[in-house]
Amino acid sequence: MENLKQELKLKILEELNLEDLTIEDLQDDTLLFGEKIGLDSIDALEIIVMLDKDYGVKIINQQQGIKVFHSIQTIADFIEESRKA
Amino acid sequence: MPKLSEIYISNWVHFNEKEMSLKGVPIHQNQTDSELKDFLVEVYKSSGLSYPKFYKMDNLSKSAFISAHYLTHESEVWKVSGESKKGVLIFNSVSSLETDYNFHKTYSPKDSIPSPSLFVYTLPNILIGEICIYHKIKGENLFFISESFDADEILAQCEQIFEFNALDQLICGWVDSFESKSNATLFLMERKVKQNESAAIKKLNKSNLELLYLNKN
Repeated sequence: MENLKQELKLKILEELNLEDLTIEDLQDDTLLFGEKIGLDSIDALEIIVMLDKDYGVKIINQQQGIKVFHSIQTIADFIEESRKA
Repeated sequence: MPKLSEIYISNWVHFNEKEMSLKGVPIHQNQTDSELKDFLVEVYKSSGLSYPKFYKMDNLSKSAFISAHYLTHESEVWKVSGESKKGVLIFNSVSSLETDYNFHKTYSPKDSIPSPSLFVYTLPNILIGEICIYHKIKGENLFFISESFDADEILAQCEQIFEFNALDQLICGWVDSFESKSNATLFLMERKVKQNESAAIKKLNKSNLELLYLNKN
């Protein structure tokens, strides 16, 4: 789980071009769409693509997306749960 | 309604992969021969801007955005003009071809997933959107694809824009970016010019547009 969270942080920083942020800014429970990180709707789409392409998991509706994209921790939990299912 | 003879070019900026200049005076040079994308970030970082969305833009939008910043950042009139009194008019020849090509690569081979963040930039007029969002511009904006820099066409469009939209200021010019090369020339056009600035301004006419565009360095 720790490795997965670290990997997610690096991927999000790189693929979303968050060049003003470092991995220390992305704590496990940092709000991804809050003021500090400030992701937008296009970033959400990029994360959906990344989850599908790199982890083979799909977000099936908006409500699920809101829950999953809360933080790095919730994304990692979603990947782990999807892999078990 | 102002006539074209009442419009002035109060500032102009040139940007390419080697240099940025303001009124013909170099203000940033690519001394390490960096790639365009890296040089754009160097110029952004030295600009004092804090706008993380810059990093998400493609080279075309970055070239336009950073050029527009330097074009306007010292203009007192720009700061106080009303949002609907400012407009943007841009021309280029390659549209958004480089990003179109990069976007196409994301869904080739078959069954791969297209990139949403690249898709956003597969229209050239997005660069106008980026400038308008940052500067809160709500006046007229237009983007034209043209084979080459055409002063007559620019004048014709400026005439329409200033006559029918009651603008005070217009960011106008040419922004191309393709294969890691950029060519941006932007003019700040306005009709309220302080008398004590008269030595540093140019009348808006064909010869001045061509002269300023061609004598970029």
